[in-house]
Amino acid sequence: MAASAFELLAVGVGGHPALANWATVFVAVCIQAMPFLVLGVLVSGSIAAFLPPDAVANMLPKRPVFAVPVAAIAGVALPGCECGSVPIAGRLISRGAPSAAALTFLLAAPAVNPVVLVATAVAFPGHPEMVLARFVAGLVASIAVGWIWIRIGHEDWLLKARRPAHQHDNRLDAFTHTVQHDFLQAGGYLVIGAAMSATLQTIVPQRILGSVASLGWISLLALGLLAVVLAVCSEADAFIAAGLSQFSLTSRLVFMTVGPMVDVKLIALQAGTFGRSFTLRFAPVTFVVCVLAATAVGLVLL
Amino acid sequence: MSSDLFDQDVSTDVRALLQHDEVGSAPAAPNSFARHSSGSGAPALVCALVGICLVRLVTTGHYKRYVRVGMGPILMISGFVLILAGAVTWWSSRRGPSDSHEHEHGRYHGHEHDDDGHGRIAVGWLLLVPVLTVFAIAPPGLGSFALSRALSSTSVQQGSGSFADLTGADPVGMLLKEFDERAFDRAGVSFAGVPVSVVGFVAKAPHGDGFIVARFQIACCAADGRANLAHVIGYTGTVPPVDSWVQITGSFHAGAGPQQAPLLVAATVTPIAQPSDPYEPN
Repeated sequence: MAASAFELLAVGVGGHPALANWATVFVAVCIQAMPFLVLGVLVSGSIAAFLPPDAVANMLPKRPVFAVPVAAIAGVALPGCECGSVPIAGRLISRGAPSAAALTFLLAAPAVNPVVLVATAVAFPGHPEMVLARFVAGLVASIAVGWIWIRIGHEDWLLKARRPAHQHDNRLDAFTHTVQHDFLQAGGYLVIGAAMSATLQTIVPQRILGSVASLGWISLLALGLLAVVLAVCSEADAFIAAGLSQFSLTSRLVFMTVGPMVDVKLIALQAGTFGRSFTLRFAPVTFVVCVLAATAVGLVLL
Repeated sequence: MSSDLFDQDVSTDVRALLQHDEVGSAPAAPNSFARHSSGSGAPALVCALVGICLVRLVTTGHYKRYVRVGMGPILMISGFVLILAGAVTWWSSRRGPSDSHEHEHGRYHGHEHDDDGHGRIAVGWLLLVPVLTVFAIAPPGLGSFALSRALSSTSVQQGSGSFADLTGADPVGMLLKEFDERAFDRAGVSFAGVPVSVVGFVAKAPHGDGFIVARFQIACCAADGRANLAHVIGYTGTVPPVDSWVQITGSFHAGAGPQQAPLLVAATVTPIAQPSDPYEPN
């Protein structure tokens, strides 16, 4: 009976192009994120099992104001995309890293790592300055959000991530349990984010965006919002930006700066890892900072 | 966007789904998945099922409908890592359930429940949704519907390359991307009247005669697809149904159809099976 129900479902979906399209995009976003999520939880498992509790805090400058830029630079070393950096940042916080530094790392890692920069260079063959602009805008935005967090952030909003780690008798147990725990947690929220992205992509015709391409600051906001809605991987967004040729380079820089830091998939992942009260404040602030940083960098460099 | 969407609703739904699991369990903890992560193999099973799904997608080649071809090896490795992680945690949960370990688990998860962590791990069950979608529905890849949603109808820009003239009398096989690029390069001079052969799926022309043949190219996954397309004219036979795959021989025709799609005058339209990689390389 279950089998025939599935067949009915399959026929039903096949007969509805919108549903088939939804299912394709939904599965694509999930599958595409899996390797990066697995890499992320392997790193977060290693942090939980093999790093002494104070190691991260000791590696960073004592004053958070200086720890934030160091964390942003450290983001260059993680060759992944945004799905992997969420569980890592969550685990860093649970191991006692300063929250501002961990959050800056969360934002910087998917935006400024070498893989993303190379992809940007390939996507914009005629505009090498785009690579520099993306790197600078990503660093500036992630550091600015870290400093804003130092001023106005409340540790209460991060209770979910501060929860002490599970004590295991041996390190292998601690490692595999953390890997599994973080994978299921982040993966579940990733599924929610993928469903939202697929729904928006299926419902909203992107063509309506074309009408605002020449409208100055409105086009900046429009591409910022497009990045939130599309939720594509930071390693692929440069190729989309390259195709948006009716928009200015600065608008497209906004698209590539917002994308790795705020999108529906990330909002779901962050809500799952850090809690709702955190994400409701963090995502809008990050969005505004990204738009401002990318616009400023665009005015200077592009 | 309702903030409740994230934690509360999910855990409620999942708890309802898992009702039968609750029978005979301690009544206190509402988060059955979390509790099970110590005592039962449920989380390990979800982990392993996702891994099996990834491996299966690679061995069948169906992953190419969703992500770029080059991701095959890392999907395979990720799949085995997840299967291994599931197997190890399942094995360790079977082994020595009576030692102090179990007690620690109980304390830990009780604590987790205390901070607003409702459904925190229960959300892991949602990973079965894409797994079931892959096995039961096997979504086909991007087609004509996605074409109607895309921001721009073609990914080709002016000046994307300069081509040597085609020579000979036999049709030259090429990607739709190259067809578009040649059409934009000096208004299609490089075709030099030589017939071409392209592969794509059929879509309705927005208006006017003929139909559209299109194929997406993806950078990372199907969420970032961009279409390459040509407007097929001059074909007198029966047009194959929308979304079926065809091989078309014909020749370039100067001028542009609606939405700037280059024109292809078709000589033959042959139905074919969907290529194992339905996308053109980026």
